[in-house]
Amino acid sequence: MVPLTLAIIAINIVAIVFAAFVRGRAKEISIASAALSLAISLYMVFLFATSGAQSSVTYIPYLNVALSFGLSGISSVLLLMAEIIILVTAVSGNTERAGLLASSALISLFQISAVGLFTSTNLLLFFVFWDIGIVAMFLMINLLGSEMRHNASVNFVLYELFASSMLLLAIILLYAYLPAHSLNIGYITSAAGSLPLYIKTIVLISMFIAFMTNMAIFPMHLWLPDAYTEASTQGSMLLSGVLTKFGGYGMLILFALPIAANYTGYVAALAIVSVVYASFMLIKQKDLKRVIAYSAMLEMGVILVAVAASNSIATEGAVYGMFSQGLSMALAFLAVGVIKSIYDERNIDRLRDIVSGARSTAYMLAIAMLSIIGFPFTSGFVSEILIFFGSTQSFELYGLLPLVGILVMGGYFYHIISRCFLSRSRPTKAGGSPDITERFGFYALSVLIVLVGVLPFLVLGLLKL
Amino acid sequence: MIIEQLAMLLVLLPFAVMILSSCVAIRSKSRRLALWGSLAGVLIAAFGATIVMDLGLSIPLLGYLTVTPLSAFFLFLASSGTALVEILAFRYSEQFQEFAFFMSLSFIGMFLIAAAQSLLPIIIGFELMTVSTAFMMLVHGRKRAEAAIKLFIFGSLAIAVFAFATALILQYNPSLSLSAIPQYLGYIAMVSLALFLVALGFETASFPFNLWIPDVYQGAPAFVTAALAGINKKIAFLALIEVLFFVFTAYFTSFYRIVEVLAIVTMLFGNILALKQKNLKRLFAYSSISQAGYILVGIAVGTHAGLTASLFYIFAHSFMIIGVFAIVGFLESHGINTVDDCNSLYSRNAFIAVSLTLIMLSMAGIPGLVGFFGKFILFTSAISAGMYWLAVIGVLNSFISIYYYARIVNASFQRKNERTILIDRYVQMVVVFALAIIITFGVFPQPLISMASAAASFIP
Repeated sequence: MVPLTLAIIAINIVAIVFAAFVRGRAKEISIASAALSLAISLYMVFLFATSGAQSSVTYIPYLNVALSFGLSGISSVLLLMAEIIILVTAVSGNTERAGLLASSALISLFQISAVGLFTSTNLLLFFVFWDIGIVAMFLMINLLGSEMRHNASVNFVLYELFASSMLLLAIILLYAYLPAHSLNIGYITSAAGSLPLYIKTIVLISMFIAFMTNMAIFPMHLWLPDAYTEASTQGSMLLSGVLTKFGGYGMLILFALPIAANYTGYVAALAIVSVVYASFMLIKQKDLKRVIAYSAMLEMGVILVAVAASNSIATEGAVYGMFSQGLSMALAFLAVGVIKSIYDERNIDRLRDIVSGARSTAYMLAIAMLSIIGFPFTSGFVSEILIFFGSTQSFELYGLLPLVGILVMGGYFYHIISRCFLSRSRPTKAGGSPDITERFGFYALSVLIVLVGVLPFLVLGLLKL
Repeated sequence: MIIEQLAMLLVLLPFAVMILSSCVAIRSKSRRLALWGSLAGVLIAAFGATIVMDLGLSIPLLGYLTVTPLSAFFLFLASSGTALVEILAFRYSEQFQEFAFFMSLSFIGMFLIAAAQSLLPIIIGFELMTVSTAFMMLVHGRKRAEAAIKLFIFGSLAIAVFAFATALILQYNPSLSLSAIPQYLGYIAMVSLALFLVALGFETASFPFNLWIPDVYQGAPAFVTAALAGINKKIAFLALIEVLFFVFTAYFTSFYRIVEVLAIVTMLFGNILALKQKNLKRLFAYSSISQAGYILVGIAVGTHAGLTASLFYIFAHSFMIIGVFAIVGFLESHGINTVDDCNSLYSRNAFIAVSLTLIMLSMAGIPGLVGFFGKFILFTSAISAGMYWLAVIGVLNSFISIYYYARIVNASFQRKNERTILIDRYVQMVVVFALAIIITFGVFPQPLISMASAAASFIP
């Protein structure tokens, strides 16, 4: 696995350098590097499914850190999801047609971070790639976003780097207190139980704060609305599709450690508060992008409930939910970006009759919304079935409380669809149509959403390996 | 034996080359001769230092000095830093020959401190460094006089206090050698220790003896600031290590708490005052104060791991701050003095904006750059020694520093089309070299860690 991961990293570094020096071809280069990386990751998943080996190379002997990369069922699903979303973003994310060089270079930088994070089996490497992703996303918002991007990006980076300092603190504590001074995730999982109680508590709390900030769980969500809204379309797609999954993946690692067992109830309660809060914030929003942003926050809350339930069905549901939510959020933000470029408008009070002005875009946004609320035959349905079966196993009927939030969100989505998509009174004037690259994004994501919704074993089979 | 003599020659030859060439250069008014002479000198010194580190030699010189891998580590740092500063000064200084002469004197002072086996060379070294750095400023015109005088007065004060502290323990250590004094000396030793900490607090820019730092850094030409922050302060940390761990070894249990508090307060002081600064030089002056606090963390820990981490961070920060002041000096020469002036720097000169961003990310401890591993091993050593608060406050401080670095990044990536500024190739050379160090050791820290670890094992 090490040579393959390093190959992906090298390809993307070469892509950044090429993009900087070959003027005017930046987009093609980033598409090529994303496609190559997707092919290599598919091969990695194939290797994992057939042989399942992980490997490591000496890196920093002084710190007992090796370059160790490997996959598990969970990480291979998330890796594939990240690679698919990054490829789609590289092809169709730039609906604003601005800053081609910066956007391509930053996609490649972000890809390095995503691939490294989901394949590393060492917590220090995990942290390294985590921070690279934060910096790439900060620059993406700051360079490519809309008017208020400066405040939004600084807000984002302060929250996220607070999260990463918390994570760093936990890592340093684990490193200093584990008897073998090793940060291998497998070793930590087996040895963390023997730590002194106060160390366990500090590690749990600081790691939880870190991952919770990244997932945008109430009350650490304040970076989210502005960052999602002010980022460019590609920024929002990567932010909602991939970056918040870093925290979700971290939560899965954290709840696999033998230190979190006593706190699952509190975590679930916090997650439910977050879901309800997000749903009530959502129904106040007029900006289509903000609506989707809050729905992303809501979904991450639902996923955290599943992570906290930490039985096998709920964990599968959480991973499946992240996979499905990543695809649907990317599709939703892409569709909103195209609507913005066609109508130059995102306010749901002024958008009317999208379905005749921009037919395919309207259908795509509807598919994404249906998948977000868990409509049958979309991927969201499977994930929500798994999540709620799992969470009722652990929390009994309290596990169903997030459904309140989802119902509220579904109602508001119905309101949006009936008013903006279908209402024929005073139709808004359309100025263009999605071009071929954006259509590619639409078809790729919507086909995948329906495909894994109808044939869930495609993903679940990988998870069970 | 023959190798040792050769290495000794290699170590001493550069001073002769540097002094002679700059004297001839002043007489013949040849800027190039001064540059090549000093560069040749520091390159020979760096080469000699590499050999000493590689072979792990200990070469006694003149009875007062010994070149060990520890001193070679700092000699290497000082010589590469000096080379970068000379290149900057060659571009920006109108009085380069004189500058090169005083820089050579200062370099001899650094060597004396690095190789000191006794307290006397440390005093002489500080005098050489302080006086010649003050002259480096003074030769650049009257408007530098204020900064030069401040540096001179505070530097002399520090040397006087240092000398007094030395005098207090004279009767227990008549040879003034860097050997441990016995533990039962009572309050005389404690007073002497406190005075040493005061003197070296002035030199290393630790709180509360650092209030002169921002004024001097701001008033000096940027390349002199780079020399002050990147080399002089770092050598002063070696002097601190020599005094605390060679002379006062037996008092470790008494002084580590003091150094711990100094570290915490210095970090907080630098970072909190940097938050509101508008002038770039002042901002980075406060930032370098807070970074001095990180270095003190390793010294407070005092274990081999802690000192290794300190040496690592000294090396890393030296190149980061020289790179920063190279960029700040370049910006200053184009009329960009404050954070607001950095507006749309990216569209004016992409190379400078991206390099400054990378260096600041490294200072903030973002992985992939050398600052991260420095902080990681510092805080790990602190926690391993049971000093939780040091690590917690350190981590929080590197978070605070994000705020003011983000302000600069934020300003420089504003999208506005202004007239572009052309990069200067000397500045580019220096910045590329600093970035190469920052990225290479950020991705592969092991070589630097083992170098620092080998050097740290010479500290008793």
